[in-house]
Amino acid sequence: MKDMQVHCRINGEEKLLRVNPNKRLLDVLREDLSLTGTKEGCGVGECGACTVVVDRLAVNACLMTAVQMDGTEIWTVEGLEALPIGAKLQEAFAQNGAVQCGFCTPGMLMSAYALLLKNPHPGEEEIRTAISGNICRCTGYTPIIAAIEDAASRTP
Amino acid sequence: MEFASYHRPRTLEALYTALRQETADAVFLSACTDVLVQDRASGAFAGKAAFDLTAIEELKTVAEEPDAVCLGAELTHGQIAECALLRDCVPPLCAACSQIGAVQLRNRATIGGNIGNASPAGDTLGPLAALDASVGLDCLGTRRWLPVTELIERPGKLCLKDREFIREIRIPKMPEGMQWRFRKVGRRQALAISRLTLTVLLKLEPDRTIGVCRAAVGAVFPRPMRFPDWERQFCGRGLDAAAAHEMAAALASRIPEIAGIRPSTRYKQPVTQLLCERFLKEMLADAASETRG
Repeated sequence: MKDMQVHCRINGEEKLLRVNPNKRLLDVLREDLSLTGTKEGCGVGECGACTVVVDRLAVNACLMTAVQMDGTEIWTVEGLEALPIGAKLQEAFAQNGAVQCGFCTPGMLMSAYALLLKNPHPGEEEIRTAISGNICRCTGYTPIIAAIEDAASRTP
Repeated sequence: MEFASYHRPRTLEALYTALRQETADAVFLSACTDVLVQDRASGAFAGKAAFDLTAIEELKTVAEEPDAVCLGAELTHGQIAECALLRDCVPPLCAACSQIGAVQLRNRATIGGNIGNASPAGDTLGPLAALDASVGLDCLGTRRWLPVTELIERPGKLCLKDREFIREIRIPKMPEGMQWRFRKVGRRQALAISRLTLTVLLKLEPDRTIGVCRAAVGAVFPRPMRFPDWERQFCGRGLDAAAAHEMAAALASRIPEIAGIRPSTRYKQPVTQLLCERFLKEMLADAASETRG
């Protein structure tokens, strides 16, 4: 099958890409664009390691076709540092011990980023719901929740 | 994935044109949250022509009619869960949509996809059955409607013609004074596949007799089930604690009658009974407090 053209913004940059329609968004990010911060865990939408933010919403990059990138605005963990909320989240994760092996961290950060875009001051229950699709096998979640609360408290 | 071809039209007209021109077997794609998983497991869709519906804005609308709401098939679970009109008119559906998968899934997966997947565990199917929803199908512009309970032929299979797709879902608004309860039972709190869903709608008359009572049991049978004779049996009777117990037992007794004794019957039958009884008693108490208030 021929490649198809998609027009999107990734981490703030306009992109005109030719993608293989049999690829997933995750494959395009990692293989074609070398944005390997987005991880592949389960590949079936259960672990959340591949979470990216598409049109301000957290989505699993393993469950979206490459062609569905067309017309969207996508943020991956690589773009987070340039965003005020993103930078605060990164600092808070580091300072609260929210990172151990680090495999879940990019997805966890992107879920947290999508949450803070929607609600800059979420309660603990909202934080728990927002990261319920992101599995972490190291931290026990408590420091991650504390980090997100910390990042939110730094936002006026 | 190994689709033979991939089409992502922006309008229904463009979709019909692509469908007429394509000769390979068609598979309609929505958010792909099930298709990509199934394809990864078994290559189920290899060699098929993919028709991606996600760019068609006509399929993303909520239309209000005097007595019903009409939902485009490409509305996501997140959009349905947060829509004020739908929370007001069809709240059991919104409750179900708010509990499907995790946030990432609810942000992408659609109601049309949930119906199209035809999983016995589909979370929206029970509430849709309880609400008397019908599904609007479209085959190259020719339309027809089927009740959601009749659309599912067997697990994973809908009664659809070649090149026919789910276009919209029409749901009668819940009448004034109708109470409802919905509960999803899974093996964990989040990201769980339903083991059982129970939706109960109840309208009590001022004298506490039952005006309308409907129950839909999901994830127990190959398709969501309503029990018209059960609904008729108790209509017009007074509702009190004893009646709630009797009604719940009668409902749960249908599980082994219809599905036979399966390994899961040991918990699905008592859970259905307890949930139904609890719902009825809660709604009775709510009605009593409303009268007092």
